[in-house]
Amino acid sequence: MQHDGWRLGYLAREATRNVLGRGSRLLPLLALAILAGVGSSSFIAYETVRLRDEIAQLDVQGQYVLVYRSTSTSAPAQISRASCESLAGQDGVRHAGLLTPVSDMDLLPVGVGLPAQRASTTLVPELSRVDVLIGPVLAGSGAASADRSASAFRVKTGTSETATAVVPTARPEALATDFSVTLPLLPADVDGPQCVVVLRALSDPARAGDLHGAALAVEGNPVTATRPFIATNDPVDTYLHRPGRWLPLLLALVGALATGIASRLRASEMAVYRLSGTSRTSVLTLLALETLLIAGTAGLCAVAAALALRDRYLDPLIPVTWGLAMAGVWAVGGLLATTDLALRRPTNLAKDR
Amino acid sequence: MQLDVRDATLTFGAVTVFSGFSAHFESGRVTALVGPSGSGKSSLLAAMSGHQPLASGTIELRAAPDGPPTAPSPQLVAWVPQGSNALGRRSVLDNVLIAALGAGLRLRAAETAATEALTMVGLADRLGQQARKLSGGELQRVALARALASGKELIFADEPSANLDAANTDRIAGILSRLSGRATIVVATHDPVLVAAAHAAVHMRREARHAA
Ligand SMILES: Nc1ncnc2c1ncn2[C@@H]1O[C@H](COP(=O)(O)OP(=O)(O)OP(=O)(O)O)[C@@H](O)[C@H]1O
Ligand SMILES: [Mg+2]
Repeated sequence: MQHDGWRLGYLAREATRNVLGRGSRLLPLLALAILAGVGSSSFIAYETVRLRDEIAQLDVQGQYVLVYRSTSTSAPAQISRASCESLAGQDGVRHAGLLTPVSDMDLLPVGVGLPAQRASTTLVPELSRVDVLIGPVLAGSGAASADRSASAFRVKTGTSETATAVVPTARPEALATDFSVTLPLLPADVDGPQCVVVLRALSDPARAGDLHGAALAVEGNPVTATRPFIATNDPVDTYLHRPGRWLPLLLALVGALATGIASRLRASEMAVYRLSGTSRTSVLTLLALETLLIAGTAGLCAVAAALALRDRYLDPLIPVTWGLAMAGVWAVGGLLATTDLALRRPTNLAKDR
Repeated sequence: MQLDVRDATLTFGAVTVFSGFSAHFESGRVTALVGPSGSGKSSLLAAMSGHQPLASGTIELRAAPDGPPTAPSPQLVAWVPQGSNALGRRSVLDNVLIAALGAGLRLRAAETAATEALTMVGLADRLGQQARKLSGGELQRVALARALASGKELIFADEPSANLDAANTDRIAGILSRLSGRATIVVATHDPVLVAAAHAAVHMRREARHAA
């Protein structure tokens, strides 16, 4: 082991000047580090937003809806309203309640002979605010319906009573709220033929099915969970196994390679340090500090970008972790790619200038 | 610091650069190391600074003529390399500062030493300039200043006047003479001006290559 008089603080000063100094040869590398850091976190944000869009689409299609009904179509079951509505309070459940079809009804000025159903307010929360929901398909399209969806309006039922109505936002098809008139359940409705559960997005409907089914109080035929819509591909699984998730590490390897190349272009500078009495250990420390400064910049930029875009991620720790992994791989790889410069004979390095 | 080379043999694979070579370098003197190209001057300097191991023989450094010998080590030597190696993107001052910091000086003291050394080689007015904007001769003087600022007692200069004009060669010869007393200086050179300025000369001859 060789020793010289370099103090660590002065080597750090030297590294800072070599990287950040006016006209430094390492500035392009620093620019690459900033781009890689910001790029890594932005790319993860972009992919997460895409995942969210896909999930939102699946949600509307009914991927997260479970319908409990009799195993036999000819003999309906009687599911207790209380047991079905109490599922709404359970972990991973957004809405749950009875959904019972009733006979067609007339509603002015919307139309006559409209398909109608009654639902628990725990399943369709708007029903605690208004008397009736009018599916956007029935309400017609155009500016008028767009206006209506914003606020409640009045309609006349067949017996000339008036009621407050609202056009609900799009719901999973299984709830039928898009193309039906939906009314609250009557106090007398203590049971119904089907109980609908809307799970939180990203939960696993297959697993939740049996769990909630066991909590239902049923008379008559036994019930089973059916899923009105099953996606052919699982976007979460696709997301978790996407090749793009390796981008930060790919960037780190590119960075490490670029660090190695940049250091090689500075071989004669390493010779200057060595020939003026700087030990191998100190040159290695200097190279390590320079590489850490550059890789650290990449990591820091990844963290900063992750903070700025924090609302876009499933969990901000994901881009932060990838950013730090990128910095680590960059630093270690970059150092491996430059180590030989500290170890080679300086009189040889001095020649290839 | 005096230097004794005894019965030294240096090889690169099958090539023997020199064998059975002995020489003495006087403390506080400038010794010119002369010999034809390829005779092994640079290789001997590398061996005497511990960068290059010998195949056989010994190299001993002594602080006093009858003191205990120490082995060559890169940390004991300030080397003025052949050619114009420098930290091209750093200032002239920084280029010299590294030698003083490497010798263990504090920043303030190192700056003083570097400025003095640059003044001595006539570059006091170029401290803030980027090194790559200097001429070859000026860079040779920066390398010399680096050796001065290190405060090392051994200075090895490898062809410090290569590619220099007569005026710059004279200047370097002058600087080396002024340094003697402070340090033991070995100058590998083909230049008669530098040889004349030295106190002594050690001759190397070209070996028969590829021992049978
Ligand atoms: N790293 C090396 N590997 C193999 N051979 C080498 C190496 N360095 C030097 N040599 C050989 O050793 C011999 C002596 O080289 P050296 O550079 O010591 O000569 P020199 O006396 O300094 O010559 P010059 O006056 O041209 O500078 C040359 O033949 C050279 O080819
Ligand atoms: Mg030579």
